[in-house]
Amino acid sequence: MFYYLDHSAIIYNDKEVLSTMRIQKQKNRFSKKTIIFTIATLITAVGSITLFTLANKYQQKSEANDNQSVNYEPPTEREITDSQKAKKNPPKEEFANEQGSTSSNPPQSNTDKKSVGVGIAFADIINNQLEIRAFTNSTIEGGECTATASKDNKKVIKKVRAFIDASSTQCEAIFIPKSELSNGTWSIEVEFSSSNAHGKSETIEVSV
Amino acid sequence: MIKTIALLLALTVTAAISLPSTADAANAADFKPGRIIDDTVFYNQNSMDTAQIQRFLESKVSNCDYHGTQPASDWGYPQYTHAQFAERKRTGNSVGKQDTGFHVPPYKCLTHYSQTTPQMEAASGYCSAVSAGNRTAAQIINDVAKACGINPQVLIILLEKEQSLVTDNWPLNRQLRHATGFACPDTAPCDPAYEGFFYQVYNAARQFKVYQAHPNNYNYISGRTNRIYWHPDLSRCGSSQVHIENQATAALYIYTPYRPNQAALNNLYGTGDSCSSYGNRNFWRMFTDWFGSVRSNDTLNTHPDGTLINIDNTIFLIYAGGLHHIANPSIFETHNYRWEDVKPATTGDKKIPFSWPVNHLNPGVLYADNHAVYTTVYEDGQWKKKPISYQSFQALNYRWDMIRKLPLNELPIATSSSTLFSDTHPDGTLIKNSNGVFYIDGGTKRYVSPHVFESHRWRWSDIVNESPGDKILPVGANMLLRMGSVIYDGHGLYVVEIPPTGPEIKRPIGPWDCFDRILRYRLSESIRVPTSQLPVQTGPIVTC
Repeated sequence: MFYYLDHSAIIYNDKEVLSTMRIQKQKNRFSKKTIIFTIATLITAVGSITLFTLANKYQQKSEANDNQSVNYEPPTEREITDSQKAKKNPPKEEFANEQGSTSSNPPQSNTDKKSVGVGIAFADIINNQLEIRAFTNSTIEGGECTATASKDNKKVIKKVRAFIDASSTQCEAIFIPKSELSNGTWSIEVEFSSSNAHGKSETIEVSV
Repeated sequence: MIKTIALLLALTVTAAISLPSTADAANAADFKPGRIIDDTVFYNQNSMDTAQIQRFLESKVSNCDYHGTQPASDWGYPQYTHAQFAERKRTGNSVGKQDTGFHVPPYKCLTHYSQTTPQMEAASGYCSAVSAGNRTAAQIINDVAKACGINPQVLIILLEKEQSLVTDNWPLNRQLRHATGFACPDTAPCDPAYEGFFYQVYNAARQFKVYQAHPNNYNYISGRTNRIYWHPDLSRCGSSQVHIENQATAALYIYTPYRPNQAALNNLYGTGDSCSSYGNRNFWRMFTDWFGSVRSNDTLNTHPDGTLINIDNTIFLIYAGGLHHIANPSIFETHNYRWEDVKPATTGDKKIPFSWPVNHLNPGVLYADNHAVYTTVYEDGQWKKKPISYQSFQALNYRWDMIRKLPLNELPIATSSSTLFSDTHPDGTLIKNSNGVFYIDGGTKRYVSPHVFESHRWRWSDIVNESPGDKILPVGANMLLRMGSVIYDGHGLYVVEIPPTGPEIKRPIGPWDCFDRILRYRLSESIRVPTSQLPVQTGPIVTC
């Protein structure tokens, strides 16, 4: 047997409130009947015209979605102007060709490769290990990420695969057990390298 | 009187004029970098159907220049048609820098666009199958949205923010080929394997579902403070720390890993400075302008264990990954639940599988039928009523006013074969002695601290004096706070969870908007607990 909530008390109270409101209205109506009637007529006339206009204008909106108000208005002047921006931005394929980023003979040394930015999205101690997340700002190309944690004269190095994502190349998550790190502040740096590109992140500090 | 009428007329007209026209325009102050859009909005696949999408697209491009015959005023060359301008642009003939991406008509606006779409097999956990066919842009948006569980409005915004495809009345083929920017980084060419309008829409939607299905495999993780850069020029422009509150926001940052800086927000419809990025700003702004609020009173997350929720006026307890139906009002009452404890179910709650019902009265409660006074025991795999002998009733210091009046049809049907004939209180009884209040549980006495007593909603009248038999019971572990209690130590708000195995945990709740507006907690239901008495283990944050 299921048990159901009972809202009858709330409904009853609402009716009470409504009844009270009606009684108050009746008292006012008897005392100022003519004036109220005049005002109501004027308000109704002006309001109806305005609302009728608006109702027609926004009919589509209410039909479209009960929960969200969809804007079916024509584009604004700015939207029309902005609509050409995608064309005005340098096309990426031409941009790439101009930069000479693709080559049938991959360069061998990092200095010959295309330089890319490397960002560290996260670096902190989680569940007793240093977790590092990093990405490149451009190249869609698999490669390798090398994280280096340094403190005093000690370096801990971890390499992971880099994989292609929607708009960047991400390093797989890098984990360094806390047991490999002494207490104190460690400097973290991530380097990305692929057949065509190379880059290094800024150095950030993590407290262990 | 004339003044009054004039005032009323003015108010009427003002009210009519100030009616919200459509979706309210975006206000930069409302942009929350940690919560760009709510999950239940982002993943709401049913916000629009194909006809509504088509009508929306037509509202934004009412004069598609399919044949390129309109003047190229938008490029400052009204003397040429778009077709003429495109040809000059393509050949580098006196209209600025050469761009071979321009081409002859037709220019297929989304209102007019259609293509043959391939069969897409179901991608387990991401998207259901999409059949092959010939589809318009609106049909592609709708069908992909439905197949992958992504709001079609999100896909529409993606098309606009990446390639202006919603408002452009003469889009080039390359804009359609790279429609959602999928596999198109900011400073490198797009991956040709994902080119084409359908593949772009499908792969973007699918990728958002991949992020949702594997939240720990990508850089930005909901519930963490992440480092988010301002601009693709990473080292020059730097980064900031952002606590990402929900999965949809994490997905947007994975897709476009930058946040707008203050300059970009200060000029919401224009450009900021050399370190401004616009992808996520424009997503939020366009969504707000076109489809209304990015906020919702709902969440895909669940309430924590121990919470009572209401699904279609039926009450369930959430526990250990299951929904446990509270079988009747007497059970609800004897467990000291209160109606104000019951929260409206979130979308996340409704996806929790059903589990065994809570079909037993609290064993510490006394009740009676026309024959005897009973307590409740678990015997032979079921809950039974166990009669209490008169002698025991007296010896155990029970009082007649402790007997609950419960409907007979809500009492256990089975009766224990034995009668309680003992000077030791049964499990579930609260007793007191000179050392304080104890709860009889599993044949032990467990100490009950004042805040634990309060969390269980026990009443002083529930307590009986320790009986001779109780005195020789061993003392067990201290009683824990009631599962699902909201506790406060002066610094943080937590919900108590008691996993099936392992120690009790405290889960922080936040942010306030989630606590209050979405999960529907109230500060007044929280119990003050000394910091030293908080559960030691801290679990994951309860958020939206």
